[in-house]
Amino acid sequence: MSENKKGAKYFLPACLAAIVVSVLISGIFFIQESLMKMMREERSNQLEEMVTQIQANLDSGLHTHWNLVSGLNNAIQGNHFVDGNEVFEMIAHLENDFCTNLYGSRVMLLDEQGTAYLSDGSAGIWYDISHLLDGEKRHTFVSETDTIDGSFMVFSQELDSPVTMGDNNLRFTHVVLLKDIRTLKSYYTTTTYGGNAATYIIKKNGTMAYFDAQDDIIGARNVYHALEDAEYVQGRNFEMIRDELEQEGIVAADIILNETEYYYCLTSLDDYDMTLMLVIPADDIAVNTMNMMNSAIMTETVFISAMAVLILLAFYSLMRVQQSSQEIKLEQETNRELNRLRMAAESANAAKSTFLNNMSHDIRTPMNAIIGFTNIARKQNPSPEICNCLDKISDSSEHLLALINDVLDISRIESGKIRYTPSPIDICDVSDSVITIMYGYLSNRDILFDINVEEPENRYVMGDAVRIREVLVNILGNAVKFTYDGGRITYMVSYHEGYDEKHIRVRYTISDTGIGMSEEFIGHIFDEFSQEEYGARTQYKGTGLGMAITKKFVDLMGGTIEVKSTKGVGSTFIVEIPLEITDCCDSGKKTAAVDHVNWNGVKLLLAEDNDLNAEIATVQLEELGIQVERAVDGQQAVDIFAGNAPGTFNMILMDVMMPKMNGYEATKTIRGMRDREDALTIPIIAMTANAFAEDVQASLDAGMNGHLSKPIVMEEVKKTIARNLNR
Amino acid sequence: MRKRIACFLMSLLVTVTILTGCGTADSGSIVNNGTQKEKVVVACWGNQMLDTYTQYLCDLFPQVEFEFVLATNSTDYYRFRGEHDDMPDILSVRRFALKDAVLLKDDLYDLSNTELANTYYGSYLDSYTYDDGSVNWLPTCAEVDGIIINKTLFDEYNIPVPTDYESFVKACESFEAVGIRSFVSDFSADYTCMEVLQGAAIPDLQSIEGRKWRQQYESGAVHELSEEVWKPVFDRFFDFVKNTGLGEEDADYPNRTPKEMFTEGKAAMFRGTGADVISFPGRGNDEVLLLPYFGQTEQDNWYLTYPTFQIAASKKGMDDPEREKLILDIMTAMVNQQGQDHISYGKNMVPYKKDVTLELMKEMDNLKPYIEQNKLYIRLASNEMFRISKDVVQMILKGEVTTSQQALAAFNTELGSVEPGLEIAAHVDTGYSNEFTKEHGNQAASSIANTMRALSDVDFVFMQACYVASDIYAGDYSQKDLAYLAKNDGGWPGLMELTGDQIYTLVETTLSMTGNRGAVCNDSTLYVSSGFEMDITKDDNGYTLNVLTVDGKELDRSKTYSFLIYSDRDWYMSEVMEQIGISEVDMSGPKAENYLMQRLVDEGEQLEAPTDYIILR
Repeated sequence: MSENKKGAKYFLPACLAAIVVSVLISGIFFIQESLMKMMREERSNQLEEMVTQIQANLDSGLHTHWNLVSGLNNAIQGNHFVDGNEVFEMIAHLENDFCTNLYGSRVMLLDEQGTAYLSDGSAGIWYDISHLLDGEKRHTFVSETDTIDGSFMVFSQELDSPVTMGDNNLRFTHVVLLKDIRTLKSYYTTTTYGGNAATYIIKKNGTMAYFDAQDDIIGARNVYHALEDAEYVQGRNFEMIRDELEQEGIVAADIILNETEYYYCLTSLDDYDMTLMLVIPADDIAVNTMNMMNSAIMTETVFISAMAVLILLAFYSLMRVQQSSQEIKLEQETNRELNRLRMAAESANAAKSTFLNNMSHDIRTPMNAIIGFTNIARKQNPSPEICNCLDKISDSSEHLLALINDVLDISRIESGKIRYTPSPIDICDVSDSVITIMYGYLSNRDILFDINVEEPENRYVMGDAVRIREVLVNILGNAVKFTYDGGRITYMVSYHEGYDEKHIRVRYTISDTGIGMSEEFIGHIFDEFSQEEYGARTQYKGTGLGMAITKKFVDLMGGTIEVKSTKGVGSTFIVEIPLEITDCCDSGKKTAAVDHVNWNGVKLLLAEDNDLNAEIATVQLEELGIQVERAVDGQQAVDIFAGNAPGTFNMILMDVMMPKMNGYEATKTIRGMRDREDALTIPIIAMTANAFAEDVQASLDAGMNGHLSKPIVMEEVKKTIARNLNR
Repeated sequence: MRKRIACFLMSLLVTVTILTGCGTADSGSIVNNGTQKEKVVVACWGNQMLDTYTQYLCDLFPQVEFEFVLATNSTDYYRFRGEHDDMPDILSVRRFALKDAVLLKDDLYDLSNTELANTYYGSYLDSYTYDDGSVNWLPTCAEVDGIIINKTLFDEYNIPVPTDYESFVKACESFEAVGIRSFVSDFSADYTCMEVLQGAAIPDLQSIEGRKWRQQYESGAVHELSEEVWKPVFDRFFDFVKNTGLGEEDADYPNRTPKEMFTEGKAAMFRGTGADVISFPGRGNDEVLLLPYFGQTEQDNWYLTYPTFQIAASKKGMDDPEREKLILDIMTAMVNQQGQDHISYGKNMVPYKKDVTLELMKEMDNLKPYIEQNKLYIRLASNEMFRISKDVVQMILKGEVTTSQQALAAFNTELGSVEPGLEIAAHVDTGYSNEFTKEHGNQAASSIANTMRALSDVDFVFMQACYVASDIYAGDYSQKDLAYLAKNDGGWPGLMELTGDQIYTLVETTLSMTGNRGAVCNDSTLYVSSGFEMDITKDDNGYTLNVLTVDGKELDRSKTYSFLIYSDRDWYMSEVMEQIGISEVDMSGPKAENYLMQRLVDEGEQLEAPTDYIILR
């Protein structure tokens, strides 16, 4: 699957997860925002409630002052004072009678010139007298001058009836109650706000008339202008606030002043033409609600976060499952692909094996004919010229056969068909057989062959005699090939301790005084088809596969092979093979000495579909004195066997690849003949161009007793027959 | 390509640098001695501010290059500046009425949000608060105005110090009997006319009806004097004129004349302020008192009062927080305790601010009970009230109107008519800046000084440059606006004959002068010379004269020259005259604004071109 496709597969769940998480996060924000909005409303409501309460208290408290003023008006109306002193006394008397000190208030009388009279005997022009000129009878405002020390809430009432003084009847126009503005706070409390609440009384034009706070939060004479300039949290502005105040009579808002969030609430004190404002830091309003809200938000956030995490995990798991499913699917596909490839490979291998088998069979079969008839011809006393030709045919045939064998071996090794299957062997026998072979190689050469073979403590080991022999023969064969006459070949066998008591290492050292190898070639000696250039290829014939096969066999057996060589001096090969010691060796009964076998009376059934091969085998066997009856296929072989009395045939030589019924089936059929006493005992030897080990195994599996590869070598044929004859 | 971009960026940088004025003096900041100083233009209502007040600001704000100009004492002057988009950064004015000031509201900074506004007594600040709660102007301490008497003279003639109007009349009669003018005043000045008119009838103006009318007038609800209130006012003034012997000749008394009569013992009483008590102490060691305007009884006695001046800030430039803070800091310094000490000499003023305490001088002890009783009448001081009061009072003094009814009618006639002098009367072809530069000095002042020299036919003119109140703007002018270029109460011409040596002394004295209304506190208050050039060195200790030249040649010290000084008369000229040892000075010549009228209106000619009159090292 391509990366793009993979990405596309994850895209949808990832998007979904992202959307869900986004929704959850948005949800958190939405909830937070909603809660904060509710909080703002709660705070505003609390503030409005508070201010309404303050307003009610103030209204009530201030209204009391009007009652006082009315009482004062009634008390002094119609009076005439002789002089100012009488006025002062009267005012003091009134203050005492009306207990104005309880209200934090003073009584003041105003004459027509604007002179204010107070109980302490002071009289002066009242700066704020201009407030009383609009024709209204009652006025309330805040007065702050330097002539009357302090700030006062003024309750002024025009006198109902004339009050005069002196001979010229100076007229008093107003009775005024000056209420110390600081006493306004007795009508309300803001302590619930941590002492951080500020109360402002604002004149109609926005000018601050009074504020009661530890700090002047607004910090401006014109409160409205400051509120206009403030930053509003809820996207409102002061114009909207004023409109709302106008319509509702009370309004609360949330502002940022000096980087601090405040709530303020304005309410009209209509009777006094002023506005009351309460300003409180946001943190001090609805603290418990806020704490609860924060806890709720926190809990909610944690919960939603957990939800988000769980959902993410779920998505993750889902994706993982999907991914696993995909991976499994992918793995299955891969496995299927691998299986397919394996099967294809196996099929190819099988095809290759089949091809190799076929090739082996198809080449060996004519080779069998060539070699066989060459040998036959050689026995017909040919002329020297013909004999020379036959020798060349024989050499070429053998070379071709060696070439075929090597190619087949290397292919089979690489395909893993050749497996190391150690079995109990007599290691000395191996060495002996090699020496025997060497003698054959050296029969027509003038080379000194030194043998130095140790006697092992225990000659029985688990090993593969065939492979060991092949390795040694390959090396010795090369030594013969590359050593000039007059040279020397040394063959040494020694035994060494293995990695434990149960193992030994057999070391074969093969030295020659041959042409030697260059250092460069030594590095490539075990490569396939590697042959050092000697100028004329034909001088030393070979496939270039021998040492490669040798190395692979040594490796297969867990051994090592070492090469030392000097060009022009000679070469030394050291092969070490680890072998497990065993107690005995059942390598089979000793082969009878074929030269002493009396072949007379021996009758064989030869199953061979190829006429040439049949003729060659027949001719050569009959030369030994053996009677041969031929069957042209497996079925006929079965029929002939069945058609003859038990003991008629001493042995059956069975080709494998035959029409109608192949050799394996024919063997099985014969072995399956319950009514024949010799069905299981008659030796059946495969004689086939199928020369591989698995072919040998297949023959044995089919119930055969031995295997002869084509082209047949009569010596081998004689040995095999001799070994298997039941006589 | 890169090169092109680099060139473009460089050009842009240069352009921006030029446009933003980097490296040159701009309206906001100037380079002085390699240090960037913030430029702040302060318009001074009168030359009293040039005494120690401007020096105090310079000392307090060394990072500021102040440009002081002596403004005409009228909010209308700022209308003129505003029309030329040349509003000073800080404005000050003595004559103030909310109904006049509201016309400038759009150009001025709202102080209602400042802590500065909160330092005032709320009730006082209400008088400066517009209907929408805005506050543009803040008052400094109150000047107290009344009748200054030479008590020593009273004592010498065994004339009782008056306690009410009746005893005042008796005192007048007694002084007239011994050939001493009982009461004199400079009725050529509009403020004297207005203050005496109102001062003589404060109980009437303070009556309920009087207060109601005033409230309506100040709010613009009525546009004429109420007969009910004002006929008695004129009745009292006629009575006052009759009892004090004021007549036609008093109508034209310039500011100096009655004060000289007082200091010479030729007059027993004159209308004056707390500052005048200090300035005109009788015959030297005489005891001088500031008494109230007398009513029928002692209870009816009132002092007349008004803020020494009000200050405001131009809205221009206040959107820059740093500059806004600087301007507010300067304004705070102008009205705080220290600032008000410099205004009031610490002894003759009444504060409006909660955080300011002013100690009254001994001569004003009798004021204290009046302050305690707040028997301080705040004058009705709209621009038209000044102008028309003068006209009507002079008519009364000259006998042109003989009854209160006629006076009332005359007053209301003028109130209902268009102010004269508003039509276009002159055109200035070439404008000149009054900003001082080391290279050319004050070019506007130089132009006017050269014009004065040309018209007065004198050898030299020497004028404090800040007496030119603004740039000379090119364009059309009404007579009223033309006068604003150089009209103020403090500037007087002094014509004299001086030798070269005396001129050297005069210039050196001027440059070294401190604590004087003609003192030089910075470049903008340096003097402009016409007919000669000044080579001056400036260092940490102030200004030092190097040499005076005429057309590049050193002034002939032995030669006598006709010399016209234009500066403060009572403080500056008296000191320099003493220093140079002369007493003959002709102060009857025209004032600066008259020269402008003569050249531009009467002659229809242009002002003289400025000259490079100063080398400032």
